Amino acid sequence: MAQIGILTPVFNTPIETLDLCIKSVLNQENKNWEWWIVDDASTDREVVSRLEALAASDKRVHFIRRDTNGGIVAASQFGLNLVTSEFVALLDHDDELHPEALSFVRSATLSHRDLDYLYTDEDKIDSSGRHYDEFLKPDFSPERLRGQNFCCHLSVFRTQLAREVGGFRPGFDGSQDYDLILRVTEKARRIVHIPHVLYHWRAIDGSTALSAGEKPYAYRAAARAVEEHLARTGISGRVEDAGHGYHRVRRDVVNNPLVSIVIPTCGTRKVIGGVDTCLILNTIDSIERTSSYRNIEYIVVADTHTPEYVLNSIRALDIKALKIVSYDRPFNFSDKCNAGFVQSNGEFVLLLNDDVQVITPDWLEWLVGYAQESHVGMVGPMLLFESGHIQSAGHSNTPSPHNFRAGEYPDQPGEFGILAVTRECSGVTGAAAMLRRDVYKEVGGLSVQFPNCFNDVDLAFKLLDRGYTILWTPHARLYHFESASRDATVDKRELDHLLNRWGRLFDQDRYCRTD
Amino acid sequence: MDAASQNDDLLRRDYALGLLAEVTEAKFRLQRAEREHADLIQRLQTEMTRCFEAETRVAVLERELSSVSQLRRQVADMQSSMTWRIGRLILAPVRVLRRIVRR
Repeated sequence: MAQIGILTPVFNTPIETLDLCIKSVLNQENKNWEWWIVDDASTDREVVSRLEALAASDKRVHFIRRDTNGGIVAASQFGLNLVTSEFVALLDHDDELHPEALSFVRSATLSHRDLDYLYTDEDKIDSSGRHYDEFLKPDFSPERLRGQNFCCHLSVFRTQLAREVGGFRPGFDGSQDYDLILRVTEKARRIVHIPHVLYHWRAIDGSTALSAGEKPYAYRAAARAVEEHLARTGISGRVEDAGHGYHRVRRDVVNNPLVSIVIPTCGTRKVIGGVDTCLILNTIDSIERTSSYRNIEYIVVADTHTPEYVLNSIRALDIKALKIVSYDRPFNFSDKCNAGFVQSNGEFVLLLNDDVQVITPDWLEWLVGYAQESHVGMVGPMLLFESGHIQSAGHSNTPSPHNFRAGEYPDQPGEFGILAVTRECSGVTGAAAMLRRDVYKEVGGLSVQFPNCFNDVDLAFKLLDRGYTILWTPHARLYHFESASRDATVDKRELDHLLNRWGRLFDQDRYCRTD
Repeated sequence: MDAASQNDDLLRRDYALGLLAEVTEAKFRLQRAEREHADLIQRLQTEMTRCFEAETRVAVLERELSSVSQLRRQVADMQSSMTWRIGRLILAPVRVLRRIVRR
């Protein structure tokens, strides 16, 4: 019995592309495979005769013809029931495998005996055979998977598990593999990502490889697959359209918890939109005017040299849940945030710079919704410069910690939807970061060892080190008039200290492999 | 817990986690240095083996060179002997005839 089976449903495949697909399988370095080709009642005689001849010439190839055309789901399930190998890899009839694909898969299955699902990087091939759109994928990211099927090709399942969870389900045509991936990954003991391009997805007219909008029925099926995934996993929320062919899962906020917004300030002013503005007042005012979430308290940590008129203006806002904490020690951003934290009462703490302005009214619902999940350590929103360009889409550690995608347009999805979906990341900027109170305490808050820079990077590494997930979401948006209120220069001592703590994590980003 | 105690608690936790991170980082660097050291030792051994093989080959070549030199000296000695000269003189007509025939 072969260890790896390939499952390919076929229907009237253009003969040239079918030949390329066949060639890619026959050219595998690892010869220990079996190939289950299920013809879904093709009317093209050449396709049938080509596959019959292939099966006659190679005992590893099993060609089965269905009497009636049942569609991709029926054909795939028909084949899954026949597969005898321990693992099954899905290969579409017009795509190609890299010659080393099955070698890598075999190596992974031998290295991890408990492996239940694996996926690889992929690229696309155009009609002239040119390879493009290389997708270097992140390590397994469940939240990102809820927004898009980023695992996609090549997907390899433990055959027994794929069957146990129900295989390919009718009604999910076009997203049947996404639905199966969701159900298998819910149960999988181990999920492995092979960071090599081992699958070549042919982009032809009508193919989803060209555009996610090519098959609207597939998009609707994907939404239903995610809805059912939420029900199975006990996530309380609903699936919404995130644009560009992606989804987003809006979580239900449980029990309307108190959110403490900790804002360090020294009463700085800046010209914003041509108007001389007191930043802290603008920040609080924008939250009050724009936010739909109302159970919040403000902890304003003000340096002793903050102008009295600013403090009076804050008091004049007449916000009941507002506390001004006087900070009389030398500047230390981390210490200031911690000083605010210990004066707060909220179940959730939002670290917020005084130079931000709310854009999306439901930003707090998005942040709380994610932060309330026990495995989530920190959540950050999309931050924009005053110009409307991205200031931060989370952090990336490739090659060293920095704000991801700074300067890009926020309404573009980014490559492979990286700016369109909520996703796991290696950190978010401390200018706007939400944590649960217990998590903040557990990791000792922001480290006073980093008074000016990298305190948020250090916080993120502490959280990752303790096994927490950090999420970044494009669905909560704020302006961040960056470094308007403090010196942006990097202190070498702080960088050295960061390297002494976390140097091993530089250039090792599990979620952003490209900059 | 009052605010000051909570703040102390945060400081202690960060200090502990920071130290742990520094120890882990130091171990990581040590392991990396050990790996690099092992790689260097391996490379050094490979280079030493190549060097030894080269020296052996050089010694063989030197011996062969010395042998060739000795043979050359013997040939030179022989060609400068009276016997060789007389022999060449005797065979001179034969060499002339051979040249003529070859033409």
